[in-house]
Amino acid sequence: MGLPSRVHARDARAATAPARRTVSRAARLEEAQKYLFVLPALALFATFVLLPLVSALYYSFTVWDGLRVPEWVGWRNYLRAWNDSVHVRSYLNVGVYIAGTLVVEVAFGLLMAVLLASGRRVFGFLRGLFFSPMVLSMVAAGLLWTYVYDYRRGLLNEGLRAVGLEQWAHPWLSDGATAMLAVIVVSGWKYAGFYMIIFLAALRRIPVTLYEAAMLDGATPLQRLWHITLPLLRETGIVAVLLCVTGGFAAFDLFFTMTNGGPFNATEIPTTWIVKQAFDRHNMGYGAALTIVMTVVVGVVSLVYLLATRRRHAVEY
Amino acid sequence: MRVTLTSHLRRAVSALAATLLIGAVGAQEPVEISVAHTMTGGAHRVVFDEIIEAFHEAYPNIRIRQIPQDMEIYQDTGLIAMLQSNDPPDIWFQWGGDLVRRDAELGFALDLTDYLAEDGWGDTFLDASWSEGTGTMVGDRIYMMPYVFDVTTVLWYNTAIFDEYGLSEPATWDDFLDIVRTLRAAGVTPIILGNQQFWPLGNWAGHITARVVGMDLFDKALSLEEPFNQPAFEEAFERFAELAEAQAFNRDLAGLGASESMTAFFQGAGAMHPIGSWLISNAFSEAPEGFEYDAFNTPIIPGGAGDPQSIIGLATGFEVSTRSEHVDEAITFLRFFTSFDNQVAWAEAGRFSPIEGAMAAADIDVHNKALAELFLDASELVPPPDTGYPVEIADIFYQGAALVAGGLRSPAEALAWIDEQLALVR
Repeated sequence: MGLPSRVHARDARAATAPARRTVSRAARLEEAQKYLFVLPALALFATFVLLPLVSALYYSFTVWDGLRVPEWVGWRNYLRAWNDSVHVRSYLNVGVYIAGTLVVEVAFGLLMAVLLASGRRVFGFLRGLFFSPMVLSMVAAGLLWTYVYDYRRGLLNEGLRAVGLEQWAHPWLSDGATAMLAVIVVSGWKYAGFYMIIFLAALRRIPVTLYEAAMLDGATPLQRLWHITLPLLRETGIVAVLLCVTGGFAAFDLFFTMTNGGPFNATEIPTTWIVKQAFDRHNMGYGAALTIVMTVVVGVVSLVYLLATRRRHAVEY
Repeated sequence: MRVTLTSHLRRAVSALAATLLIGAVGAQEPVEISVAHTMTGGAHRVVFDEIIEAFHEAYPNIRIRQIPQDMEIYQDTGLIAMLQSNDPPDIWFQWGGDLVRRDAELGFALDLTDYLAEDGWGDTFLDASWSEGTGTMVGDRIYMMPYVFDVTTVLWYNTAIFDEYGLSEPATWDDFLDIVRTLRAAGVTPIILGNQQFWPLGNWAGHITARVVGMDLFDKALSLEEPFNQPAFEEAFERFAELAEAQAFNRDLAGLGASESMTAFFQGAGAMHPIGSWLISNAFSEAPEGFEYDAFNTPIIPGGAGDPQSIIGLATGFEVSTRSEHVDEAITFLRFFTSFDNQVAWAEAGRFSPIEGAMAAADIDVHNKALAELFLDASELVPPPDTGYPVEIADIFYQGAALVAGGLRSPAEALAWIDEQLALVR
């Protein structure tokens, strides 16, 4: 019995070996095909993301004006960045900007979403109105608001003068004390509608039955907001804050059109300082070093934030 | 017969060859010369186009291809990208001074000295064209053919406001301060300027500083051979402190753009406006009907070590590529462009031509004529820091001056700040 079975086993092996080889080859081919399909995307990613990133890393260790042969200077650009008071200040400024936009964009967007989450037609109109600045480009919005803030003919100061508050008329964008606030207001005007839409979408997913049950238990509107709405919007809030923070670091166009980092670096943020160094002053090497620093800072901030807000007690509904 | 046949054959072959040769010559592609510049509009661009059209008629085998770019893009990345490319322009626009030195040093710009010496072409230019001060030369070699002279700062003033308060052009700095105080007391903004980008005030600050400390020290400090924080510069920066104390500037000085401030000047928002010769062409299109204005040079600063009659200005012009395969054709075009008649037309379009006699022969605005005289009468030409020296150094100097003029720092503090910033650059 043993022999025939061994024979059978050998036969079976002999019979299945080519089949397995065939299967294995087919599997490998299928595996290779997957990579083949990914290859174009990978090539594009390598060309337009990885390669510039690696080259930026290389240039960050050089002094280069875009024309001369880059000169390797080791860590000098990074030391300079550390000692560059404007560069350090630009992070403080962007921190203030992000804190401001968290209030005027995310918090205000949330408030508007809660207030306007109704099926009535007039609320739909108000939502549309509130969202409408989003269709404008940031540059157009910046230029538009520059005219609003203009010291002599601006809508704001003219309005103040018209109601007898001439002493309140102010060079909003030319005073270091008010310039950042002025930019934050515009940012809020532009993006609060965007966050409102995000929160509205999340609000619509909350089952009405939860509110009905709470009402039966005698919960007030504020209690319903605090115990039902806000906890169930937590995940959306986390994403909104992350978008706002990373978007804040990437801000450029609004600052470029409204203040260009001025007055006297009061609204200088990392991106405007990088552009000034790399393109206005032709310090490509130093500009690349500042870019790497910013990439690391944004990466670390995002990572810390995501770790800190990891889903621990996510509510399933 | 054999001889006759052979000669017929020879003639026929010769005729055929000649026909083919003529055909080949006739069909030859014209040589293309690319010219990169920043003329994106305005009367001077119209004249430039007309000159090119006339050139095409005069030289049918040479075609000019223009590469116009917005000034800021050209300055920041445009020209650098073109010079680094495999096909750089044959001719390009450049600002005299540091950039010409750079282009010569890196081998981008052709040495034009010998070309300008041919047939006395160089002699048709004003003498002022050929100096390191105007920024066309490096050592004793010429690398840029100038086509415009610019006075980068004079004090333009609204004559109606001056007349209203019985003011006249000041001779000295103290006279100037008196005017500022009179206007401020009357509730008029004495000087309106937009200094968001630092160069508008910075250019003027450069001139004032050169007047006080002298060109030698000015040059050494901007070349990083001397510190800024020293008594001579403190004396110069005291002038900006005086302006701040007298509330000479508009309240939105630090945040206003250069062109917006010029518009505000035309609208009567301030009595004086320190800016360059380009105000004249802007006045044509922007100033309201009946707006009258005039200009004076920075007043004499008593006790200054610099030339009291100096002006601040520079030449801009064309460079020719060392990599051009058609240098002769490029030179032919430049000679055509700088011919007397074309330069008269150029001057009439509002440009200050460097060709001898062109400004006098041109039917031009009285202001243009006055500035041309100011330029020609000046005993010294101070280069604007941002074209005469590396822009990074100039930018820091400009910001230091702006801090004092804005009343945010004392002269000593601002100068110490400048040296701190420059230490990072070194």
